[in-house]
Formats: sequence, structure tokens, C-alpha cells
Amino acid sequence: MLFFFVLLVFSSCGKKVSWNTGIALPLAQGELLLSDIVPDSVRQTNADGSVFLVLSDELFSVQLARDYFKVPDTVLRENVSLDSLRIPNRTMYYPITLGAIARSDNSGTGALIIALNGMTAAIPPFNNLNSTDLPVDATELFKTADVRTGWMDLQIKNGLPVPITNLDFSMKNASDGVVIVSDQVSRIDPGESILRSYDLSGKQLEGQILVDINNISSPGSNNVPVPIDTSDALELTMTVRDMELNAAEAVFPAQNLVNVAKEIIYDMKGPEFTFMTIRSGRLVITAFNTINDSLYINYRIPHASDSNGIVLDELAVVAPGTAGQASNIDVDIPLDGYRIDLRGLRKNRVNTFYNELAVRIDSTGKLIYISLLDSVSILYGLKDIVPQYVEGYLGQTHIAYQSDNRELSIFKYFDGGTVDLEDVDLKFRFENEVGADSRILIHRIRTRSPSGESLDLQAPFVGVPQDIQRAFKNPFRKGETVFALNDQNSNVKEMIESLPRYLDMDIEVDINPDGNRLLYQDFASYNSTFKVYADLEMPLSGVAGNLQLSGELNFTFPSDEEIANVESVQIKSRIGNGFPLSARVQAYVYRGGVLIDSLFAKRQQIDAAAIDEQSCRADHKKITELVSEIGMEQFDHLRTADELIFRSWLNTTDLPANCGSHVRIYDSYSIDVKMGLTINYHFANE
Amino acid sequence: MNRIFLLFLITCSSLLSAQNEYPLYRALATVPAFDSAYISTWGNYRMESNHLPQSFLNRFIFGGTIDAKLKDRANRTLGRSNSLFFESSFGASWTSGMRSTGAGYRRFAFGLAREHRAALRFPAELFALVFYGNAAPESSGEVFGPSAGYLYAVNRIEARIERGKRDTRHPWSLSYGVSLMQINRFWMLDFPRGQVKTTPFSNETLLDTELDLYFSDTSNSSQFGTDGWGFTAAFDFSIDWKNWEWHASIRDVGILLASQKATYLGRHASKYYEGVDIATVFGNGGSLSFSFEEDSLFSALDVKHENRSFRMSSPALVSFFAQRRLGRWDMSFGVRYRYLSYPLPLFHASVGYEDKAVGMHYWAVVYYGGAASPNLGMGLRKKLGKKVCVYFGSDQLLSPLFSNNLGGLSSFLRLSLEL
Repeated sequence: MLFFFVLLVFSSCGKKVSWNTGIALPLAQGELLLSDIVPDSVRQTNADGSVFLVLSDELFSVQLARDYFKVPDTVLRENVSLDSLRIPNRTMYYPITLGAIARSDNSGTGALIIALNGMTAAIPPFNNLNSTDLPVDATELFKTADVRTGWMDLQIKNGLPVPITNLDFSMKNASDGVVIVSDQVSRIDPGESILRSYDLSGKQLEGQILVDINNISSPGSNNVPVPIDTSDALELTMTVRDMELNAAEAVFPAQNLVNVAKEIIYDMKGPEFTFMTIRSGRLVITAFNTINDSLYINYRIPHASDSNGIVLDELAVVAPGTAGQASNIDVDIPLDGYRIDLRGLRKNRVNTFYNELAVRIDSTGKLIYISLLDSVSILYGLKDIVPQYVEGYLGQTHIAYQSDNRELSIFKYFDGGTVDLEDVDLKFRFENEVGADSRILIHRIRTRSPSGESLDLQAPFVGVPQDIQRAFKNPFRKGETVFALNDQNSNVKEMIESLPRYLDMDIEVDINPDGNRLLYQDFASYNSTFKVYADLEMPLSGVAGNLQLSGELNFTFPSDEEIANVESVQIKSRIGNGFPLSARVQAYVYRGGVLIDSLFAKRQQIDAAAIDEQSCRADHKKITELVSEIGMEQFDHLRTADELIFRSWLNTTDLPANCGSHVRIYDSYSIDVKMGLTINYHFANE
Repeated sequence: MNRIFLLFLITCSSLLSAQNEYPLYRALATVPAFDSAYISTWGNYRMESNHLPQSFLNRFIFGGTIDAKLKDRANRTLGRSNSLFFESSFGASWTSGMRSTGAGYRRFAFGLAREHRAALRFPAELFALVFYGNAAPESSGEVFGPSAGYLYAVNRIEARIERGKRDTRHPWSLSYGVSLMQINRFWMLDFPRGQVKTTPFSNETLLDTELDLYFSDTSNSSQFGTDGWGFTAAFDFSIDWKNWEWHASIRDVGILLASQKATYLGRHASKYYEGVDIATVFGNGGSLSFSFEEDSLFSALDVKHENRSFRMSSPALVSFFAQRRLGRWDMSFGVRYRYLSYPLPLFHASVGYEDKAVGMHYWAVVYYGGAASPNLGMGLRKKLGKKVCVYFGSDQLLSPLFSNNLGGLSSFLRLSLEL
């Protein structure tokens, strides 16, 4: 080819130079063994080398878990208002010293007491001492608090050396001066104390509190000298307790806002599962938060664990929000592979899963404002759950199946002719991978040949319900039930010899026809199938009469450019046939489904190998040489064709009298094929 | 006087001759007789074949279908080794006037030219394989070889300097020049051995080849595109001795270098091919259809394909001839050989006659060898006025007359104007 090109390069003037030449090319060759013609998957060999076919055709299949078990979505909503906003009980100690009282007195007694500090002297009676705006700092507890309910316990211990009488005091907010507590005490002896409780409900408290001692009197030491120490004090111990708030700006402690535990019961429309392994699905959590603090959401399914035994326990954090702008979070967690106990909290239910939801705020040590108007809204649950494996009771399922014109792969290449087979065995095999009782009722199995001839299967099980063995677990073993047919108990040989192309079936399958017979011992996986097979076994032994075999040749016709200069083609074939089958072959050219030509002028005859009288085998190949001319007209037809159908008519060769009535095919048979191509090619430099 | 005149003409003819494949009769009439500066323009076409007849070449050159009769006739005339040679050029040059120096004279010249050159050598078996095909009985299937060839098209620029001395007992001249060539198209073939043998039933073929083919970037088809570069040098020497002008020259000595975009196709393999292997009658998915192993014909060819540069020695021309003038008559004989192109040296002899009354010079030449069939050429030169000189002719006049036996075509035309 290269040289052609070079020569054409040498031609000058840009003019078209052309000539015809004859190119001979080997086209194809090979030795086709029986294994090349009949795939290993369907061919088996007897000890004597004779071949029999073992074919299996799946007639019906259903995946129960995949097709019939649907797990509904369960998404729950929790709306939470803060009816339980609390701050902890806290106690503060605050002493009011003798010196502080004396210094705020203007009557002269105060000055005397200060003057006698450190001495032992009799303290005279004094009346109407007062001291105002003594600060008490409670901001470590809250800055502001709108108290819904709560109490303050006030213990006053007299640490002075003299009794005090007519104590009149009050406590007020430092900024707005609103009085929180006001009380009088008639007498407290030295070293004694009193305890009073004050209801704070409805009060607005501030963290900065002022104590006013409006009056304090004393009968004095009754002229008995006593040690005077201005650091002696009235000791106030304030305890704020049981505080429930409407709102507060405070340092809140860690606390649960929501604590929900629920059992969700699935309505599975019949099945009652005790366990389920999830093939695919997800946990979804969507939360909205107006609280000005991070929200910690903890979702647990204590009875769901992954393949490592780790319980499903998810924590999500929602950022702080505001009353006007809620923050939110979407969590989507795959649950593939999780195994869920569906027996509920007490293990005595079915289709039930127990789950827990907790929402809390954590202690941050910072002042934040929270009111009961704040809210938390949470959607959570399981979505798109597809089970991989289920246990329990699978429920009762009725499956009706009808198929018309289902093409059978076994004979799809045969278009007609007759065949007389030596023997046929056909088994209907029911294969059950589902751990549940099953029952099948075959109403009708009908075959039809390409010519339209139909035959109904006549067999003992047709029209009679048949129990199909269930699958077992630990270890897993699928259930298998077989009905064997032969020409003694059925018309199966006649049916096969009709070379059926299509199959019509009418069957019904009932799962658990007798209900929950084994008390929740059923099981199924996503891939568990219930199948019906037709297993055909027959020796390649028979008599063929014009048995018509067709097939489409996969070919890509060369492009117009590639074949533009091809003027004619001659195909030469040398075939060494080792089979005792003769064949006439022809290829038909179709365009748009219409036959437009044939590849050969007439059917090409390939002679059969003769059968030896002694061995009853075809020991020598029969050589046939074929030469086929393809002219331009055929070439044009091929170029525009969209289908090329090869068809052959097979006939078995005559048998010697001592070799029985059926021609056997042996594994050693083969066909040698050598094909060459001669092209009359018009070379041109254009 | 005659000697001086002869020397002058030869001197002129040596200038720029590298760009321009002169007719075989290359003295006296073929160059202008100007002492001062002049310009020239020319065009040449030449095809030689030692065995292929002109009737075949005509179809090859001028187009048409090479029918069976033509092929058979050509096939009968082929020898063991057959050659084709082709060249064409056109261009223009400027030559300075002579300048006297102390030791003689000196002149120089510049020229531009467009050139095509190609040569092919092939055995008869290859001809039969190409034109009859391996299916035909004419293809013997025997080992054949060798074949080789090249083709290039270039744009050339050349500068030359000539020195000489005329007023001496033995006038002489020496010229030397260099050329830079822009390559537009470049092919090189080396096919030392091949065999294509096919069984009569076409089902077995032996394909045995030792073949290397290089070609420059074919996507670049412009006449001014660059597919590579070439450099050559030329040397001419002549001397007048014993009433004969002896002339020796070597031209186009150099190298042609293709660019990196060039392509190499090579096959050094012997493979027995029986067609694709039928593996099974079942295709993918168990459908009934023939399926074949991936042993395609192309892979059987086992062709190596690379993009790489290549180079070739420029097909240098070595020439020697002698010429003598006898009154109005002149005669010459010589030999020339073009490297990579000629299977044999080309021998030529010529005779010329000048008719001064009408200002014309006629000549005739016969030759043998080279890549050509034996042939006869004729030409004439005419001086138009004092400043214009034209000549034209052909070296192969017999081929058109005996087209079934001889092969070769040529024509040339040159026009010079004194400045």
C-alpha cells in the first residue's frame, strides 16, 4: 500500500491517474470445535465423548424484600418552650459590722462605740440607729431575673456583744430602687439568730442589691463591761432557692431542655418484623433555635447498632440564635448497615423501634439572656429506609404472574424444520431463598413455535397447588423443590421437538399461606429471590430435517470512501466439515425490514462428513470449496443494508444400518474454515 | 577569439547552474553572451525513464486510466532494475558584470528558484504487484528488491562567486556557490526487500518486507510552508587546453533535513497471514454471530509509525564534459551522474551550428544512460536585438515518436536581458 501511495505521489500535473488491480487477502480462518459452537456453559460430555446439552432457563423470578416490603418514613417534630428555665440554689453570706452601723449613725452613740473599740466597757442603750444603701453583690448569680416562682431565705445572726431590738430593714434593687424584701425583727440576743423566708414570685431582681437598716436599737450591756470590737457584725445569710424564671440574664448551668423517649410503631401492612438490617436509609435531624446559647441535640436509638456493634448515638450542635432570627441545622446521617431491634423497649413488640431525644444547653460561664419565649423546634426521624435483611413474620403475600410471548433463549436461533430427539429430560425447579413458607399454583405453561403452533404442558403438577420448601438459616440453605418431567409422565419431548420460541405462563405464588406458622421465624434479605427454572437436559442425538438455523452477522460495512474503488469481490471458502450434518447456507440482505438481496446467487451447499460403519462416528472431514462472486449491484445493496441474516438448513447424514436411528454428536467433531477475498480494486490518485 | 568567446560562454553558463538543470548541450548557445550585468528567467521540465515507455508515462503524468493493454506493454519493456527520474524548476537570477582584478576577473550572482525533484528505482516484480495485484498471475510472489526513491519540492536561494583569468594561454574559471532551501514537500523511500505471496485460494499470504518510508508534514500543503531546510554547495571548474574547453563540476552537494513533524512508517517483518481468527460463532451475550479475534489485517501488517525528523543527502550532480568550436560548428561530449537518482552514468554528445546572419544557433544531442532511454534532443538560441537572448528546446524528441518503446519528456526555455 505504501508503494501505491509513493507511486501516486510521483504522478504529476494533479491529474487523475487510475488503474485496476487484483488484491487477494486472506479473510478469516479457524477451526471451530464443538466448544466454539456450543458454549461450555450448556455442553457436557459423556464418557464416550458424545455430547449432551444442559440448559437452564429462568422462567420466573421475584425478590420479595425488594419488591414487597416498604418501610414508611417516620419523621417526628418536637416543639419545646422553656417552661423549665431554672437557675440553681445559691447562698450568700454578708456581714454588717458594728463599725459600719456606728459610722452611719449621727446621734453620737456611734462615735462613742468607735471610740471604745478595743476596750472593755459597758455599752449604754441606744435607739434608732440606721444605716442605708449597704451594697450586696449577687451578680455572680444573675444580672437580671424575672422570677416566675422562687424564695429567698434570710438568716440574721447577732454577732454583737449586746442584744438588738426593733430591727427594721429592707432590700432593694440598686438601679430602680424597687424594694424586694422589707421586714422587722423585735429582738435578737447576742449569738442568737433568726430565719425568715420571702416569696420572690413575680419580682424583678437585679444582681446589685442595696440593704437599708432603717432602725436598730439595743438595751445596751446593762452596765456590764463587755469587749467592744467594731468588727463584730450582724451576719446575713441569704439563700435564693427554687427559682423558676420567666427570663433572666444569668450564667445558666447545664440543663436539659427536652428529654423525650418514644417507641415508634411501623405499619408494615402485614409483615411483623423483629429485626431489620438497613440496606440504605438515613437519619435526618432538622433543628431551629432561638435561644441565645448553643443547643446540644442528642439522638439515640439504643437498639440500633452498626456492624461493629456501636449504638446509633448522634450529637448535633445548633448555633445560638436570637428571638428574631432562629439558627438552624440539618443533619443527614447514612444508616447503611445498621441493625435495628424492632421489638421495642421491653422486647415484646414487633415493628417497633425505641428512640430517645435530648436537647440541652451547656454551662459556658457567660452571662446570657434566656426567656420562656425562646423556643426549640426539632424534626427528627428515619427516611428512605430500605431493608437489607429482615426477621420476624413476613406476612402473607400473594403474587400473580402471567407472561405472554416470553422468548425462550434455548431455541431462539431455530426457525423451522423438524428434529427427532433421542431423549429429553426437563425439570421444573423452584428455588426459594426466602425463609418463609411458599405455595405455588401453576395454571398453565404453554409453548409456541415460530410457525404459531402451540402446546400446553401436560404434567402432574399443573393445576395443583404445590408447597415449596422454605430457606433455612444458620447456616443458610435455600429451599429447592424439583418436579422432573420426561416423555413418560408428560408431553415434554413433543414440546421440545416443536422447537418452541415463546412461552406463556400463568402462575400464582402465596407467601405464608398458613400465616405465622413458625412464630416469627421468617427471614429474607434484599436479594432473596423466589425463582422458577426450566432445566433441560438432552443428548445431542437426533435426526434433523431441514432444521433451519438463523443468526444476524455483526458486521460493520466499510465506509463509502473505503469501498468506493472496489469494483467486484470474490469470496473463496474452503470448509472442512467434521460433523455428520450437511448445511445449505445463504445470507439475506435486509433494508428497513425488507429483503433486498441475497449474498450468494444460490444457497451454498456444505457437505456432511460420512459416518463410519464400524465406529458409528464421522471420522474424516468432508472438504467443500465455495467460490462466490459479489458484483457491484450486490455491493450497493450491502452498503445500504441495515441487517444481514445468515440462514442455514441442516440435515443429518444417513446412518449406517447398525448405528441406530439417531445421529450422535461427539465432542471431537470440528469444522475447519478458511476464507479468502479477491478484490478488483480501482486505484486512483484523486 | 574563439577561445575567449568559448570561455566567456562557459563562464556564464556556470553561474546559477545549480538551480537550473540545464539541457545536456550546455555550452555556446545555452547561455547569454553578455559581458555586463544581466537578468535571466527560465523554466525546465524533465522526466526520464530507462524502461517504462512514454505511452505509459503519459498516462501517469497527464492523467487517465492505465488500462490492461498499457500495463502489459509497460510490463514487457521492464528490466530487472527500472528507474524514473523527474525534475522541474523555474526561477530568475541576476548576474553582475565582470570586474577585472589584478589576477583576472570576478563576478557574482544571486538567484531564486522553485524546484521539484524525484527519483524512483524499482524491480519489475514490484511493478507487477502494484499494477496487477497479488491476485493476478503476473505477480510471481517471489522475493523482489531493492526499491528506493525520493521526492522533494523546495524554494531555493543561491549566491555564487566566480573567479577566472582569460588573457592567458590556458584561460580558466572557478566558481563556487551556496544555497539555502526551504523544503515544502519531502519523501524518502527505502524498500530493499519484499515478498507478497498468496495462495491461489487467497486464504494464505506471506507478507515479508524490509521497508522504511519517510514523509514530511502532509498537512502543510502550501508552496511556502516549511517542512524542513536544506543546504547545498556547488563547485565548477573549467580550463581551455589543447583547443578544447574542459569542464568539471559538482553541484547540489549538501543535506536535506525534514522537520520534527515528519512521519516515519516502517515494516521490518515477515508474517504469514491467514486472515482473522474465527474464535466462536457466539458473540457477546451468547447471541449467534461470528466473533473474531482482534488479529486484524492492520496488526498483521505490523507497521511501525512514528513522528520524527529525517534527513537525506542531497542528490548531487557530478558532471564532466569537453567542447570544441570549429568555425560555425561546435561539438561536445561528456558524462554526468546524479547521486541517488541514476542507475548508470549518462553519456552525451552534441553538435551545433551558428548562423550569424540570422542570429541563431541550432544544436542536436544524443545520449545514453542515466535514468533515461537512449534519446535525441534539439534546441535553438535566438538573439533578439543586442540585449535579449532566448533559447528553448527538448532533450527527448524520440520518446513521443516511439512512445511504446522509449520513455522520457523534457522541455526548457530561457530568457535573458542585458542590463
